[in-house]
Amino acid sequence: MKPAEHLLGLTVGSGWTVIDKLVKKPGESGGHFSTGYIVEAADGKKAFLKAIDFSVPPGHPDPARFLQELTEAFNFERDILQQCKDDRLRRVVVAIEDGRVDVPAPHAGLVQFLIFELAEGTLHHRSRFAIAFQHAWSFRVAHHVATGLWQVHKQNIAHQDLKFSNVLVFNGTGSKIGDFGRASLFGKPPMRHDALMVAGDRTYAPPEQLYGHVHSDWRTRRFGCDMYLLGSLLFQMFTNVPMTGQWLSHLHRTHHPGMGGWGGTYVQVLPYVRDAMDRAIVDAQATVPEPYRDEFFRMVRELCEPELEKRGHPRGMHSPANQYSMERYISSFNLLAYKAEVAMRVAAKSP
Amino acid sequence: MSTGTRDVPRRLVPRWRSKRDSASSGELTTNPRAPKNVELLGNAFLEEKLALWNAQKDRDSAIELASAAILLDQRALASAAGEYVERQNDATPAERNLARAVLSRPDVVDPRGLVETIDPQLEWHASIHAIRSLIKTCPRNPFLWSELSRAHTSVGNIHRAKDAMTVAAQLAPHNRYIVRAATRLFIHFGKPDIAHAILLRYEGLRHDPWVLSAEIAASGVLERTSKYIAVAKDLVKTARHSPFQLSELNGSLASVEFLAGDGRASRRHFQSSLIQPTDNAVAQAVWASNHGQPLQIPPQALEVPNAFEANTLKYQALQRWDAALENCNDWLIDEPYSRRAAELGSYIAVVAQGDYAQSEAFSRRGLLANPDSLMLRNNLAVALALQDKLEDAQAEFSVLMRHGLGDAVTFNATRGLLLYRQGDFLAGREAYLHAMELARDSKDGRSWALAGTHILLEESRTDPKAAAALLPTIEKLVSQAKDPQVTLMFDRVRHGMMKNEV
Repeated sequence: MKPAEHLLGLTVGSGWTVIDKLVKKPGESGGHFSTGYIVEAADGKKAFLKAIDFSVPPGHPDPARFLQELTEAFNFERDILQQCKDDRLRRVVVAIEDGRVDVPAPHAGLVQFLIFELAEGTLHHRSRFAIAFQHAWSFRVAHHVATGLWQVHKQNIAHQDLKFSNVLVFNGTGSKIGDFGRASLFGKPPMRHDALMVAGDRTYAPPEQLYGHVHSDWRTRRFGCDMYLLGSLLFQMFTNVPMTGQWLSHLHRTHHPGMGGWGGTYVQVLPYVRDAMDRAIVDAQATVPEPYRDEFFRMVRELCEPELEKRGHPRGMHSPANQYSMERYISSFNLLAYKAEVAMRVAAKSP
Repeated sequence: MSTGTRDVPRRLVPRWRSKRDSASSGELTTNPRAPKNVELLGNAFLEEKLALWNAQKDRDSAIELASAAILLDQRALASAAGEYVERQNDATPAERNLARAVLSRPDVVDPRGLVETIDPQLEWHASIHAIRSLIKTCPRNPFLWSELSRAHTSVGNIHRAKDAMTVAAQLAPHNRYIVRAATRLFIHFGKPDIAHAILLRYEGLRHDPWVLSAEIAASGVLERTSKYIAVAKDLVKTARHSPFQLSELNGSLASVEFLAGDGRASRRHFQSSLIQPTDNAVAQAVWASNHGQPLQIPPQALEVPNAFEANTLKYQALQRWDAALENCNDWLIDEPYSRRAAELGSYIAVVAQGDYAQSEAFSRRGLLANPDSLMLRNNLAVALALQDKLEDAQAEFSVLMRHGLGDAVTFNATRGLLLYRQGDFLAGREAYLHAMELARDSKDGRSWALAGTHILLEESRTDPKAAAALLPTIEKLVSQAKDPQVTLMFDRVRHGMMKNEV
């Protein structure tokens, strides 16, 4: 058994007591080398602890390399979270503190940990929050997520792995984005995942990454990816299906990005991808109520635009700084959320 | 009455079908290759999703697994998840689509982009309406614009068709389907220079046999030699593409060699083009075969899907007129804008079959898409006159008189026919004789004999004795012309005369 799995009952950091261990289901995201716990402070405040196991799996061919990569990944995430904390980013889940704990025998070992605010759940648990006020709630979440992305983008951080499980919902403070394990920092030495074509979860990846099209400009490549992921998240909140899976299901096999599929360039296959994505969007029209439909799909279309150079708000096309700015979308989501909230109140008052 | 295209060499200009039909034919594939993104091949993330689904068996994990399985094209792994989603009463349309995609059999090839949602059975004007409404929602979709152009072309809205295709070509200048469709359209409307310019902008021109073939054809229409002949010859020698992918390129190269008089090289390329041919390559080979290129067309080549033109030409050469007309009809359904199909159909129907109503139908269908085609209008006037629909025939002929039909022989012959039918036999005979003189002067034995056969038909109706006197002369002309269709018509007229005598 790994030391990181034996923290129950220990006191860590500035007086947090580990009171509960979270059982991870097979396949659940959150990393192979981390274990989640609930910790409690002396004043009764609860938080989430992520323990990173630095023990080398038995039989690993290169333990030194393994430890180096794990350490780099941990430091990378910790530094990003520290930066977000220093800049007081309200829509990002930041670490309350980090540190290390010596696990006593018989499972002795050194475990690094990060402590976060405790969320009520992720977007996967949206049914808990959204039964009675789905639209207002969904637009408010989109507003918060767009704000979170805007905040990190201003710090030259691209998230690259935005999906339901990485949007955390808090009682009272709304939603925040979390898990920066796949993020990319402009101007910093690239991490291992930066070299991958798809840094985040491939199920949600934007089309250009699936076809191996790499834009030379970091901002275009990385912020463009975040923009697509936001559009996909928005699409999924109303249709239950991520955008990538949906357009892939409308694509002819010969134009598929995988093995045995498309052998040409991205620019050549782009019209087929667009056609499939258009189909996905047109088919989904009925899923969104009429008062919000046009605005909703305009944003999905702009955010998920398959041509990377044209992704984003049309009025911002003249420079990457404006093109991938979230500000216009933050305003639009806010407006839609207000509209939906007003509609909800009116409906509640009507006999 | 004329086919209008007898002396124009056929070029291997791309067919322009719907995206669905083009995709089904295999024309829009590339050489499969391992993705640049090697991590796509890894199954680890799919296994994670599978494990999550097995643990949770809920809607979210089913959707995650289905999406991952579609991405890796391992749909069978997610079939239980797909069935689970399908069973949900409140599943959204997007969830149902995803489930259907996961549950489709691996051999099902079913392109289902937005453009494929347009009902192919719609009448062209309804189709235009449906496409325009989709364009309002998806203005950057090039296939909608090219489909709009195809619909406009099919009803003869020339300017709108060109405009729509221009938008499509601007939106997708590097897409094979769009570039080939634009080539066909601009050549069809007599703008091969625009077609050629679009082809030259295509980024993969040197490596894409389908577009290279179109470039060689467009250069030929422009009466230029393509600058890419050497590149094309290199490409067909490499083993990078399948014989099917190279079929049209081999056909284009064969045609260049054939027209340049190099029979041996031409034959070699034609044979390569017929290993695994497209219907267009087969039609090109049959055309060359009918024009003096000794070629063995394998019977299975004529059985490839949509080989209507090739079979029309084959049955025409074999003088099996029913089969020729049947295939010509299918050809016109397949390519409703094809002027050649309509002209050939209307010509065969009158000359070989004596079926004037069918000739009228071919001409009218052709004129719908090609309202400016004077040859089709001439054929319509002839078909109408032969059915004694004289007012309609005169109206069509008046259009010809206003615009002036380039072919003076045909024009005078049609004028003669109309005058005969209107009762002015003298003027009719004079016009026919003038047409015959013009044909004789231009050494066009076929037209000479055809005009003679027509005068014989009219004389037999009005003055049997004069017709009998004329018979040996016309018979001589027909035997010299050695044209099976004219011979057939002559035999039919002579048979009618003999029957009347009895």
